[in-house]
Amino acid sequence: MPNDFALDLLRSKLPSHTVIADRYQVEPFETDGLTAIRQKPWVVVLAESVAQVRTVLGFCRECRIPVVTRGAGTGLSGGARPNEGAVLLVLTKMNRILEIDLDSCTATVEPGVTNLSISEAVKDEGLFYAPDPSSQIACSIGGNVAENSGGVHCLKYGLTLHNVVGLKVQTIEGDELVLGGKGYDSPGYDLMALYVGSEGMLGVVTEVTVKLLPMPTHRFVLLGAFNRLEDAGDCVAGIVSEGLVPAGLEMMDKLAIHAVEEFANVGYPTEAEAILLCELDGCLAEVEHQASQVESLMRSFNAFDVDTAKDSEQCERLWRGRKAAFPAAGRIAPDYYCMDGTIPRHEIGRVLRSIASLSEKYGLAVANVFHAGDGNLHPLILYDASVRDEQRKAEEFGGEILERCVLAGGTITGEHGVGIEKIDQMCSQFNNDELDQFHRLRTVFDRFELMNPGKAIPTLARCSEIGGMHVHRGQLPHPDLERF
Amino acid sequence: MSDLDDSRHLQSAVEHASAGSEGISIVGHGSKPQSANAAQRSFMSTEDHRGIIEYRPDELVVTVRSGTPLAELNEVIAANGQMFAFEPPLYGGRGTIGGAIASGLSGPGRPWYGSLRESLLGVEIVNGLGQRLKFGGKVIKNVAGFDVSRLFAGSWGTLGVILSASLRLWPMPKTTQTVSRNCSDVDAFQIVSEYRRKPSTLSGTCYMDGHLHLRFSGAAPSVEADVGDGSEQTGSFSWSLLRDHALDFFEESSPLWRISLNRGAFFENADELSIVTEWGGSLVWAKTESQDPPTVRNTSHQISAFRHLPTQPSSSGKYAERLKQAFDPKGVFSSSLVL
Repeated sequence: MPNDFALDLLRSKLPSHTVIADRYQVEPFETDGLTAIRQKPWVVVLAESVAQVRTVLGFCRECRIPVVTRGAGTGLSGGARPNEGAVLLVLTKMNRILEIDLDSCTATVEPGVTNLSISEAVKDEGLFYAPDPSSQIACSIGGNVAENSGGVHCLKYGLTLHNVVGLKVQTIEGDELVLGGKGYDSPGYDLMALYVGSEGMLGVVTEVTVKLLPMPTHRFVLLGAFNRLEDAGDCVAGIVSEGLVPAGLEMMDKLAIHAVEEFANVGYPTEAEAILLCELDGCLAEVEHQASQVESLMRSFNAFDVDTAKDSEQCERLWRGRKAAFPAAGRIAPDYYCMDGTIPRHEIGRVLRSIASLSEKYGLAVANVFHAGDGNLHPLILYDASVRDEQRKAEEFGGEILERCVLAGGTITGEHGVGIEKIDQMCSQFNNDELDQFHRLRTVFDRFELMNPGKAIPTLARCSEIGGMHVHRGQLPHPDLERF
Repeated sequence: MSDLDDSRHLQSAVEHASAGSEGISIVGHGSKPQSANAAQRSFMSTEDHRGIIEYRPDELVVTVRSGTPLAELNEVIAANGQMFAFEPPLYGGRGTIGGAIASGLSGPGRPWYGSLRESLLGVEIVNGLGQRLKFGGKVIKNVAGFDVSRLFAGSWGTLGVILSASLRLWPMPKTTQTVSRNCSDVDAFQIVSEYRRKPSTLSGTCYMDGHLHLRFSGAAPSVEADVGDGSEQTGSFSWSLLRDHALDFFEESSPLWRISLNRGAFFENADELSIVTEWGGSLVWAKTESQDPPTVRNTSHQISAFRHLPTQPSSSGKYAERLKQAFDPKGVFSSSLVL
């Protein structure tokens, strides 16, 4: 832990109200959205300006004190969990919209601006910012950049990386990098690609320029109800094969449907094993045509009921259930653990079946709610942390799900990030040479490895410690054994 | 399509060069004249490393070896009604997918369909140490580890050899129509700007020789709604020649500059320039009489030498240098970024 001399030095460089060191006052910052993992920071700085950010980074560099950057703290992988003896640099006070440029259809904002407030600010111009993580009312755009956040409309509109055109970044070495801009191309290496999703390990984003899109004139949402989970899964592939790119394509299983119905009562068919929600947008003639295509596709995959919402009120009703899924899961079990693996779409049925077997093995129920169009699963493992061993079992169960995702040709995280949560599974997805390359990349921007250390990229030593359970690219130690 | 796996040879060639600190320049099928300017280096070709590794149309993803000719690849995916949204230049059928990624060039639809790097989901590479590494994957959402694959887009073979890549595909639009009209550059800019702010099927713009060409793509009813607005005549502009930099404009031997900017540019000495503007005013191709770059007056921009000009020095800045070092500590690969 840094000493009092260091604290006095930091205080001497910043306005007193921006520095919090009292052990009770730092408590609200001890976790992010992954609340199971907590750690008190050494000190919290609530930065108000780029100059203050630079001061903090300079201080950390000089004193070799690690720094963890935090936005709104809604992240689900513990990426912004403080480190012991480290500064927690909080950017929520930097929350101004700096410019809305209607000629280039871009907005330039500070990192603490919330995701939703960008769309709200340009609503009257008929524009919106596309990525919409479910935390969009609270999460900050800087955090979205750090995690490359997604949402329910990624299939058509992409992730954060597809919608950010420019960044200003402060490196711990004291440089300001201006990456991208309002034009579409920049010469030289595409460092912006590297910064999006870098989980606070390469620098601090202090300005973000995002692309604004014209709002589509019409929107329909179709709900298809299925008796078999596999049929719903196959229907997803069927819709995509047909050449349709829905704005959103979501799936929920029976347990999730029931939880939502008890909680939000939106009128989902409780007798269904699975439902698909399919949002189509565009001009009226196109949306009508596509809706009839999707309806007949759903029926051809044995949907027993298809409901089409054509006005915004009906659409909102159907979406409300999906958006209430996480809080609804929170009502049917004291705790839940949300996973985030992504798999190729054609593997959906098979992976869901193996999750069901794992659920029996661990004796823990799972509700499945996910971005089916993207193959991005969010199994919610239900457990009770007050029951001895259940937390550990849930984590082990989650780890096994992620390894199944890697085996199926997918990835351990689609949109929540690695953070501290999935750091061990990184050893399954990448080999030592690849991890080494990540470490060399990191030191390009942070020679002393002071930025968010211990997150996102495991050390080789850590991977070799857990080597006993290591499954790399489908090469199981005994591939002939059945594993459930 | 022929199916050849030359990855072992490519990897051992890099290992060999790395051990002897030799320089290598990577070429595909030599479609780009720029790749010829790396002197005193041996050339390493990906020509014998070709073929589709995995393609499932219902996944909208293709995994392909880097030496695969784009023209052949386009044929296979087009047979399934799919396309690369970034419309890479085919350069007379000689361009390869590896070359497209390394140059990072996107075609006329870039502002609406996204860039090459946005469609790039994963790569397998050999770095300058001869290590064979995989980054990213073949699913559209993937945030595990730094996004190294997208860093390879536009890296011009300076960081490593691309062995294979997974790319996102899009359904081909059902209908495409072009309208052309006579107008001034100021009017053209006005028309194009208005389109940015409203939903439409606009998928390409090109202003040259006093004509504005607009391309509309999508479902038939939507395209008809957009095209039906005015009384323009249907044009016969070739978007594929624009994409391949093969319009007569590109064929002449004057110095050619590529200028990326926020919106329509105004130039000093405009009458000495010959200009083609695409991407809704955000990309300008300018030919100059001398070897001096044109001067843009009104907006921030990035100018790159494109053809018939000496190669620019490698990307400057300490981070770019260290980045190169991180992948290629012994300097096996060429260090000049062409753009």
